[in-house]
Amino acid sequence: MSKLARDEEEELIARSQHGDVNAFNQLVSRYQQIMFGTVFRVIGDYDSAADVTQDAFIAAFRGIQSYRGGSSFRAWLLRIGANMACDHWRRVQRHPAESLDALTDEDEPHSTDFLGSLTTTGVEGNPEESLLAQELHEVIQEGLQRLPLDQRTAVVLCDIQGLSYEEVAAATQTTLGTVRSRISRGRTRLRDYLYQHRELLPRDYRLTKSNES
Amino acid sequence: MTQHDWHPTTEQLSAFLDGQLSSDEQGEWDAHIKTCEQCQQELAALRLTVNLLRALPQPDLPRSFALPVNTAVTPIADYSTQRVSRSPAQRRRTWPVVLRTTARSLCAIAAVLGLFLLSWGLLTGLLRPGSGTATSMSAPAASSAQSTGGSASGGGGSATSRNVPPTATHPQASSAPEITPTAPPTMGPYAVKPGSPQKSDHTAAAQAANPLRPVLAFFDISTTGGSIALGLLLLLLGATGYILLLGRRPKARAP
Repeated sequence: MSKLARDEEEELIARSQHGDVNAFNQLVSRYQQIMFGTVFRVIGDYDSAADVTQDAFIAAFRGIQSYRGGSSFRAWLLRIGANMACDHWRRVQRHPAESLDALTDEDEPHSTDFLGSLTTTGVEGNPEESLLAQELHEVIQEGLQRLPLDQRTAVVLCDIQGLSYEEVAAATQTTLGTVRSRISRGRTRLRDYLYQHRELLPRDYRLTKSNES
Repeated sequence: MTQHDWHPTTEQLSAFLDGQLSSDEQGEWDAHIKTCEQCQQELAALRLTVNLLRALPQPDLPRSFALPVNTAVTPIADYSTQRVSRSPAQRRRTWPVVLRTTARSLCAIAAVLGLFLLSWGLLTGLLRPGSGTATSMSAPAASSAQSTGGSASGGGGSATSRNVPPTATHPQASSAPEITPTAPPTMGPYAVKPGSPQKSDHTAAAQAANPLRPVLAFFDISTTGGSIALGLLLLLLGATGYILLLGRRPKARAP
């Protein structure tokens, strides 16, 4: 982020801390993509992710007084989003009926729209390839959801959203060593899971183990 | 394939991908990776996994998450250190409710105990206006008798019988106080000591020097007056506390 953008952001944060909703909404428009993306990758359900994201921004606005400058605002925001996503995940795990409802919702049109939006941004032109990409994305998301929550959050923040180890540590309130270990274990598990579904991987993405066999 | 007796851990492989190895690790690593085919393959598999994750497209936003302009600001001082699973209102209200409920229960117990002591004192006072009430009281007086009973023994004429601990399992101690010194086998371990004559002389002398004796003697539940006084005090305190705490509760918990 350039110095100008950083200064601007600090001013928006200061105004938000004085209760200026319009200033905060400018921050929302800056960060809603990464916030929603993070929450969605942790939860895996599009509609629930939208609700959790909205709640997270409301909570962030109400709690913005506690943000101290100097540290990454993105990490601070994503801490709230990741916490709420994890809480939502645990709640659904405890009450499987809710997740069953969510599964039946999958048949509704907005979900197919969403899958369509995923594939169009992936591989252009060739419908066969885009179908493959769609399946691949589903497999990766499924693999993510099989990771323990702490590893999943670390992998989503680092590998999908591109946060630094320091930012992941700030967002998950742990040490750098713990972040390193969680990311490593998460990636290893995911690699093993993808290896089981290697037929879906694009040719140039085939895992090395499959080349041996 | 070159044989190695040492390989970097998976964690080091993963950290290497992000340039997160320490300088020591980096040195060992550089020498190793050039020759170890096994680690090269491991690294390639891990790198492909990371590349797949990075290639995942961001999902389309379902809508804008901008807040309505009239969103209320209720700043929460140390929000960032809290888990966000519970609403701030819930967090504020949980502790006072628990405290108040506990305090209310304690008040109720105190009031009931006071009522019990009061009625017991009145009953025994009415039925037996003499001095024999002290021994029959020791059993139901429960735990509070143990703290006050010791100092009480110095006040009356029958010091040995009052030293009998207030355990309900020895009814013969209260009904026949004169045989307690001569019947140690029937008593519990507490009773053996005060039962011996020289011991009771010693404790009585020690308690005579206790400056708290007059205060404690006033609330001495082994006497009818003390029982009534303590009962009244407990009943009043308990009932007042209960009523006060009951009155504030509906305001705290909205229906």
